[in-house]
Amino acid sequence: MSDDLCALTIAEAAAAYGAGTLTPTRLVRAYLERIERVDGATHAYVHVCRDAALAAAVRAEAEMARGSSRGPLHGIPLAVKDIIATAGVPTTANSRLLAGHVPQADATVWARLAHAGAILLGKAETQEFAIGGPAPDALYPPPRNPWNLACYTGGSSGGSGAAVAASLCSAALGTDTNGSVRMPAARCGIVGLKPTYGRVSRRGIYPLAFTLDTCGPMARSVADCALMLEVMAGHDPADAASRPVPVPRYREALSPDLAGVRIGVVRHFTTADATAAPAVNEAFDVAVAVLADRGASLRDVRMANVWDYTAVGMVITMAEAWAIHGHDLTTRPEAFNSYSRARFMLGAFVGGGDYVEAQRFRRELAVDYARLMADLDVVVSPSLLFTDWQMSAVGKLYYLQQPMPTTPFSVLGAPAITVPCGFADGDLPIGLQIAAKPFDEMAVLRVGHAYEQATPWHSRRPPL
Amino acid sequence: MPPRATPPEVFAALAAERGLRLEPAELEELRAAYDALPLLLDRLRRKAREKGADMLPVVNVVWAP
Repeated sequence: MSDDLCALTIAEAAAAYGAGTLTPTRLVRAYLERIERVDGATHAYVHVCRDAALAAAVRAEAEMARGSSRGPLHGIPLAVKDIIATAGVPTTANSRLLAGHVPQADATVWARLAHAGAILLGKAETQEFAIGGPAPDALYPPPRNPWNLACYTGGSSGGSGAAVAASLCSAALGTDTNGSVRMPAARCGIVGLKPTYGRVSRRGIYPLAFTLDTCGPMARSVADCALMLEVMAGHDPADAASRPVPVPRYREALSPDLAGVRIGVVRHFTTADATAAPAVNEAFDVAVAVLADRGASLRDVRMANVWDYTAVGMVITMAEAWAIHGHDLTTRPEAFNSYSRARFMLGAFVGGGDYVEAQRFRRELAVDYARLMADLDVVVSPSLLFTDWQMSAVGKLYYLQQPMPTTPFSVLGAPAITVPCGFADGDLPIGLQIAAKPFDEMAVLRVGHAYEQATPWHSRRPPL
Repeated sequence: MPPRATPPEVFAALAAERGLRLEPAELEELRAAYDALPLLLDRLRRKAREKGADMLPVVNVVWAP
């Protein structure tokens, strides 16, 4: 029964609160008990806020008893990636450089969620500074994929992905620079949304690459991502990239029907530019047929080669990350884990000219994408190339040989969501990626929700 | 284009110029990655040559074309 509570979505828990069949303290206790029992195997958390979460649950319960509701996130226990500042709670970015660091202020995004009544259950593992993992010499051990503990979750928001998939929280926050929300979400069989660049404030989030970083929700349903994004989104003058664009009521996008929706099908990322595992492309073909069955009109489209986006995304990331960490890397390299050192130090060899050409090429790609999307609502592709990623097989610099289908929409600053669309290699999840025009999160939520409602994949849980 | 093959002593000097201090095994790993970098950088340089002065400048990076 306790494990059943832990598997509830945000919407289900909020409805149970409203019906008087569940209380925040009961739900928080259920999660704390499950974390104690399960997280020794998954390593999703680096810090659990046991006492503070229980105290917050008691406060939420008292507010509810007085008839004072803060909305659907009131009393909902969340995990927060350990690169997002939380006042009074350790925030280490999984780095010895920040070991013991306790911020005095919340990141804007967490302040908004806390104001809406969300409860901080704990801090979820991140790769060091959102890039350096899964290193054997990391400050905290890398998370394990709840579907197969010998496999990696992907990163860098792997702790958040594992926590949501293993029912160790209602939902979580991640950050996404080249795919760090979508990759672990897809590998863990959950939903992950990278919002438009500038949609969600990054103030209080340790940067990896200034012109690519975003923060997004990771949850067990598309509806939960919509609920969270409604609270998270909005202009913040303290983040230079934040845009004063109105925030819609994302829940209104949720409909099982796709009549009139125009979808571009991007096959070449995973069939020509790079080669995905056959099971991935087969699951994608089936997903495309489901979208057609829901009433959408589909046609195959071409974007630029996935390697073009990869070159742009990696060069920008390496250069901007070197600008942030170069001093520490040259004065105290031993403080970084071995994966971070390799990944960051490569940035020392990216020239100023290379960085400028990457940003110019990025602009060309964005203009081409705007042209393509003039008569489309969304484009779809697989989220990953393969599913079976043994922990021992994750190389330090694998991305120089292997592109990620998530990178194009990071480079384009566009919103993109991944939803579960099947399983392969035993029981390892496959993800369907849905992307739209900048600031049109409504479109990805609508298509993601309709697909989710038509398929069983999101309701499966790992055997833990 | 095949990856370049930088001699270890040349790469060690390049790394030292940039202030990088690494154990030999990590330095060798980084040299291999450095030699693979043209796979990415040449795409950017080729695009810049194709477009020349017509290539767009860096303004309003992504969401306001």
